[in-house]
Amino acid sequence: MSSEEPINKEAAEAIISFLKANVSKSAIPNIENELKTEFVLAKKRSKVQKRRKTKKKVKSLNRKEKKSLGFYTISRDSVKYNDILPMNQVWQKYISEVLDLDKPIPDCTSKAWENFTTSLYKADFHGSELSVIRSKCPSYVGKSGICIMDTKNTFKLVSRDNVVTTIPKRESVFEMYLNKLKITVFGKHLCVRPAERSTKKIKGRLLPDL
Amino acid sequence: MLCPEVWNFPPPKVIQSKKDNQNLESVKNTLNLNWFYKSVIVTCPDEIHTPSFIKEIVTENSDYYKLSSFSLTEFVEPAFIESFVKAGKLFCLSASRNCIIQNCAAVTPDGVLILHVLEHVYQTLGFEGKKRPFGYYEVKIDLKSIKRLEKVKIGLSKLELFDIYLIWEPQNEKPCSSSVVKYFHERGIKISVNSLDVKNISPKITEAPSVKDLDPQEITEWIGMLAHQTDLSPTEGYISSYSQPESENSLKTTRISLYIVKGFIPMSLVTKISEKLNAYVMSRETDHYWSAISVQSDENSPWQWNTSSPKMFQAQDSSCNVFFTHQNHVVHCIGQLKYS
Repeated sequence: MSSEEPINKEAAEAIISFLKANVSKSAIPNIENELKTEFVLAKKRSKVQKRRKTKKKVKSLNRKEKKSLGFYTISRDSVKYNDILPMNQVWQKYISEVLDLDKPIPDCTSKAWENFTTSLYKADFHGSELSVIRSKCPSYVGKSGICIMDTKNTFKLVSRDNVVTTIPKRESVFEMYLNKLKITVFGKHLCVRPAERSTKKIKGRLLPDL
Repeated sequence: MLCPEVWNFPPPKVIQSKKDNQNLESVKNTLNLNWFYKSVIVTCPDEIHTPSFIKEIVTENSDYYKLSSFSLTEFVEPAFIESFVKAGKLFCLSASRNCIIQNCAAVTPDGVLILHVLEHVYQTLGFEGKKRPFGYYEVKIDLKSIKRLEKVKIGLSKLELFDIYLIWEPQNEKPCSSSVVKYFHERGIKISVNSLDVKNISPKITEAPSVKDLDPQEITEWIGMLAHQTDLSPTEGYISSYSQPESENSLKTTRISLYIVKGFIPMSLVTKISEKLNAYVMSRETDHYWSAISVQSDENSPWQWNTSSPKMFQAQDSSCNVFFTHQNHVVHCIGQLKYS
């Protein structure tokens, strides 16, 4: 015990009374003397410093852990279309802000067009109402719904009949309506994780075919 | 290219097949392998005019209809399926289309709508299909058992409008085959009546070679020369190196009649003509008498070369010649793929 540390009086008295109760009778008078003994080396610090325990960083679960917890498994009938509808309304406000839909749409030859497409590319698609208009697999054609999950290679859509469908992006072409504006997006251009997509640089020219 | 070849070109690569010892049934099977033909030539040696009972079959069934700017969704209307597809045989084929660059469609007599569509169109339709050569897909829709009508209608409405040749043969005598015209007219679809183009020619010949001792290919060529009314004995080899086939058992006659029918010809008409022609040959008592029917394929229709090959839209040019004799019939088929 170093002398700099404040001594709790109650604790000291408690220790003394404990010693008095347990030590043999002949040794009782020596207790106080013994306690006053000063150790020569006690004030010297050892060279090897005690390492302070570093605080463990609060780490979020990685994808594997999340997946094992069933974070990404959305069962086919677990989500209702009507429950998701407010998300779509929020998204419509969001996208019209991102794309400046109050202003007229830029011409596809102008420079503003590039900005427009880039901001569309970097936008978040959670909540958008998408429909598949073309696909290499014919059974996906005609599927539509609100996007509830956007992964690197798939969109999860909730259709009007409350069914969750997973649509592979790379083999499909999507269409969405923003008020009177129809936007057609090739899914293969969006094959990046949504978090990365907002920061990633995109290629200027991509072949518009599946 | 100092001295390019300007004449005497090699003939195009063709596939030929010859079948001997055929009876009427096997001949009919061969002719019924395909549904759509563009012309029929009936050759009867030793006749100035083709027998009238053969002509009558053609004139009775000479009408075919053309639907203009027609949406294929009309084919899947329940009323149409009930009253026409299920109650008869329907022969439909997209008109004036090239199946190597354009979408094509056909309805077969067994009630199947066949679409022959380009890959990028196929991907937007949402129908299951089979891959075909030259970047095409083939979709088959059985009209008699459509499960999801709305989905089929949406898919078909994505296709462009077609001009379609149509023939309907009712199962019973009661509804007239032209009632299909009334149906489409009431639905506001432009429909017009066309008639088969019929021509009768009777060129002068010295003798008719016999099928018995000649290769059918030579007789086919000879009939072709007659049908085109060409000079059979050209004097100058530079113009034509053709020479007439010679045979021992040839028919000694100077008369021959060729009956040429052109238009949209379904297989059922061809079958009827061949049945009559067979009966006619049987009635003739001349030795080694023969008569022939030659059918030419529609170039942009579903086509099957033989029973083991797939039936699909392919750009081809094909001709099937059947020689009816007293005992054994001979079938000679010749054809080529336009692109390969």
